[in-house]
Amino acid sequence: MNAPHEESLESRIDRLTERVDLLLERQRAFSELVAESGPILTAMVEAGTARFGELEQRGTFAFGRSVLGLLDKVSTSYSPEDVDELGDALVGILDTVRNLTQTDVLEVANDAADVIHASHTLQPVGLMGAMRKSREPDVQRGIAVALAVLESLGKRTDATPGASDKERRLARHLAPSRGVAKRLPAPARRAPVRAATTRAPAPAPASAAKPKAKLDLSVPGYELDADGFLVDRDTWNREFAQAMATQLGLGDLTDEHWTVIETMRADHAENGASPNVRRLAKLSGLGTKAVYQLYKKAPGSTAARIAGVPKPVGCI
Amino acid sequence: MDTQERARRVAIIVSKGGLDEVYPALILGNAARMSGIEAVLFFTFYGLDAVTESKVDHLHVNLAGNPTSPIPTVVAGLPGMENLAASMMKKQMEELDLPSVREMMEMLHDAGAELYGCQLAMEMMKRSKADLIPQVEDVITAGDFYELSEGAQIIFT
Repeated sequence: MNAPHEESLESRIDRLTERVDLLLERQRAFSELVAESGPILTAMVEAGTARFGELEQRGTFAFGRSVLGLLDKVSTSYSPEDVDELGDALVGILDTVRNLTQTDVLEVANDAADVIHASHTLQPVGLMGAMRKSREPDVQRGIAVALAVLESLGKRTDATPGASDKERRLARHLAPSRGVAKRLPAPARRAPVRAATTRAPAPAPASAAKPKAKLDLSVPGYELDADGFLVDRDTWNREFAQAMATQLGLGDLTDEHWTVIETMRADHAENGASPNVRRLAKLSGLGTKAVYQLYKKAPGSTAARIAGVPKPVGCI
Repeated sequence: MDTQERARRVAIIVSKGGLDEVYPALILGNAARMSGIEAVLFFTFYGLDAVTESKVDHLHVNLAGNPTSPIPTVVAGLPGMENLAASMMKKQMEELDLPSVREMMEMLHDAGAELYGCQLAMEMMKRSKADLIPQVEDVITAGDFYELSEGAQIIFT
């Protein structure tokens, strides 16, 4: 009966001792903290005061005062009507101001200002130095931000009159050479053709007016276009073909010539387009060589003229 | 056409052997013949492949280093990409009913265009006239080429 009581008393004393130790330890840690943090706090307050003094010396507050003066001037030189007109713009301005005064933005501005103040400690950096520096993640992030800002700046300034004026001047500067290059061949060649189509009944003088006097074709009783192709394929007949062949210097048309002509007309009727030489050679079964021999130079155009179908188009 | 006294002539030098590099020259030559213009085609260096019997049906397209190629150069440089690109281009040409290089050569020859091989390139690549397609007229030197192309407009491809 006695033993447990003694034991419990002992253990209680033990526990009390432990608690006292713990309390003492805490007390010591706190007093150490106070002892250590005291000088830091003092230094902070001192530094803060010195900073304000410094700012005052640099004229920051003077600047603030002059800004106030400026605001005063603004309010005297703008009438209430002007302020009314500002209207929505004022909201925008306030938005901008609010955005600019967000703590993170202010911190960035403050840091940047610190760097500028401490600029005398920085070493001059060359191109290589800049490149080395650009490997640092902080610098890379900074570059990304700077680029983004530049991008938005560029987008905004795109529409300003200054930029377009520069473009216009540049365009004017580049214009003459392009203009000459385009102007030279186009009217010289196209004008006579257009003139010829407007007065179709007399193709002879029109083709004579061309810079390159190509062909002087005419078959009495048939209407030809400026290039000597039959205008209406339904007016074609064998007499026309022979007359055209004679004009083109092919002489009397042989059976093989007729094979080519009939192939050409049949294919045109079927597909609505004149066959090119390759197709003509295959469809007629004569082969490329024979087609070239029969119709001499430019067999596609020559055969098309005789067959009374339009000129074949395409590169092959 | 007899009204034209002096026929217009072109001489086309083909110095490259890619499928995409050979076609323009052949089409120009063929178009010249179709327009009644005399045409001489001179195949030199890699252009010689286009008239070499064993190579004419297997010309490739090189997409590596080509800024307009649809795939990046890193990928285009992988083995087999040339073959793939060539077969894709050939397929597209078939859809457009464009003749093969060999058929273009036959067309050109039948149309009266003259095809020549370059002697120096032949020697360098250890090829003989027998290695070339039958449409090639002759193997000539650069000096011969100038004689043949007298009065012609020369196009270098």
